[in-house]
Amino acid sequence: MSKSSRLTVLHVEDSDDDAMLIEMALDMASAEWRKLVNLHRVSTIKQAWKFVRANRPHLVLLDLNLESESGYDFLRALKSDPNYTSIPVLVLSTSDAAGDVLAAYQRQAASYIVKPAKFVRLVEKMTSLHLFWVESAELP
Amino acid sequence: MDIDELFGADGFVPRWHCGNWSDKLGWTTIIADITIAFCYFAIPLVLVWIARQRGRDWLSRVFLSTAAFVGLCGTIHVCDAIIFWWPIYPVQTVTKVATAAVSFVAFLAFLRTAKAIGTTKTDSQVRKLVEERTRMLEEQARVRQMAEESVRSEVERIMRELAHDLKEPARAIASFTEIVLDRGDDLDDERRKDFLARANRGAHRIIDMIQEMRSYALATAGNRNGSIEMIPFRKVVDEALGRMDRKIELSEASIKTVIGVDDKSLVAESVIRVIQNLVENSIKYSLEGQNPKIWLSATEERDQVLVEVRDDGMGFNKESAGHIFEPFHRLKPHDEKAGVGMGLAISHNIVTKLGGRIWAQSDGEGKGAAVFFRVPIQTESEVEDEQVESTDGPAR
Repeated sequence: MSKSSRLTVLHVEDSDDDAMLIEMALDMASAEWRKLVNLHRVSTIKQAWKFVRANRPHLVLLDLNLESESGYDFLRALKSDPNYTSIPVLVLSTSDAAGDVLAAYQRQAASYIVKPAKFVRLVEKMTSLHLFWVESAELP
Repeated sequence: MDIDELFGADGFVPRWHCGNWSDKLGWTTIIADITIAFCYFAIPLVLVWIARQRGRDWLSRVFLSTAAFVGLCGTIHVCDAIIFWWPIYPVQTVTKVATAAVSFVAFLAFLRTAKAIGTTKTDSQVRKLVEERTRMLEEQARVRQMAEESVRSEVERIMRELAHDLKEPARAIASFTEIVLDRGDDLDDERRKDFLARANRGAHRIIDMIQEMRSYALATAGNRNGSIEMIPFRKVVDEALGRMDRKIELSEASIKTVIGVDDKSLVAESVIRVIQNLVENSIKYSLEGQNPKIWLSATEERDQVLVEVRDDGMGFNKESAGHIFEPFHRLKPHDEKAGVGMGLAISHNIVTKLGGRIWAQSDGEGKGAAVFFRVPIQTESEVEDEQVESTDGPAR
């Protein structure tokens, strides 16, 4: 791979359980990822903005159903700010409703991933996410 | 008058010979009479045809007498034409008498129906009336549809939120138990316990949500079918705080109550739940590492009581203000403390059912919040009056 430095990935997730599961799934998916990625987790939109402004992440993992604040609004605002338009946002969501999926892509999500109930499935999804976004894709 | 007399022309001369008729004048008269007769015979035929097309209603007295009258008029004109050659004046006289009788019947029939015709709505009036009525019905249907839709969309929203909120802890239970089952041997004791604890918390969360949903449903169905039990407002406050005893103690919250309500003022028993929910929220949304301070005050305003529950806790921003009374709304990223976000929704439902209003204020995040609500009160004497009335009532 051609990356010279570690990727900064922002994970916006209000549920501690989900954040932990995703990190564990990434651990299972790849022994390497911690060497390649700086994963920073925040639990509110406010913290997310603070981090984006200070660190300009390469990639954002966004949970859409944050309590009291809509992940959609954050996505729209991020994409309409010329400084951050180019940052790919991967939406992670509990919902597999067609409307939610459409709404995410309409707001320029780079992909939409439904959080599965089975942990093995989550490991699979995180494996492909790692392979594609960390190992294969070039990021701005 | 016998037949001979009737058709006899004795004593009469044909019209041609009576007076100085020129051919032109005579034939013009004859042609005119025959044309009139033709039309007078044709018109009743057309009327009868119309009546048969239109059905029974049209065979009315007015209609038939008019048809007969016009037909008989035609016969008179035929006689007029014949008289030029054959002076059947008696026949014409008999016809005229008959016409006179029928015309009188027609006249009476017209007179009788004139009143009805006068008050009957004309087509355009009827159309206008129908349009108005239709508009009214459409408006009613629209309002009903809107109400149904708003209920439906509210139910849909609750179902969606419920599905999402249930999925989350369910997924946590499934995932963490799966990890322990599949890889338990690779985990140290501490990790294993942590995972099981997380699964356990998820299960409790689901149980809490189901219980809250039940309360919400009960609050919604509420006093729909039963009477409202009224109890003194003071008792309501005591009961609400009593139920919160342990939580208040644990959180080391200080609660200051100022009750400016008469001892005889009664409110619905369900208000206990509202006050309980509001105080619970104030404790729940207190600032980290700070003992919550809560002010509960109530003032009587004519037939209502205004209750305020104020705290020095997390508060909320303007964007949240519109949503905090929605089911499953939580201000705080969830942990066990935050509950399932039904408290204010239930309170809102109870207050609305009682015909009151509930609203919230905050100067912003970290600046505390205040929730106000107003519900109707009754005085004890009013209730007694009502009871006396009901004993006198026909139901007993």
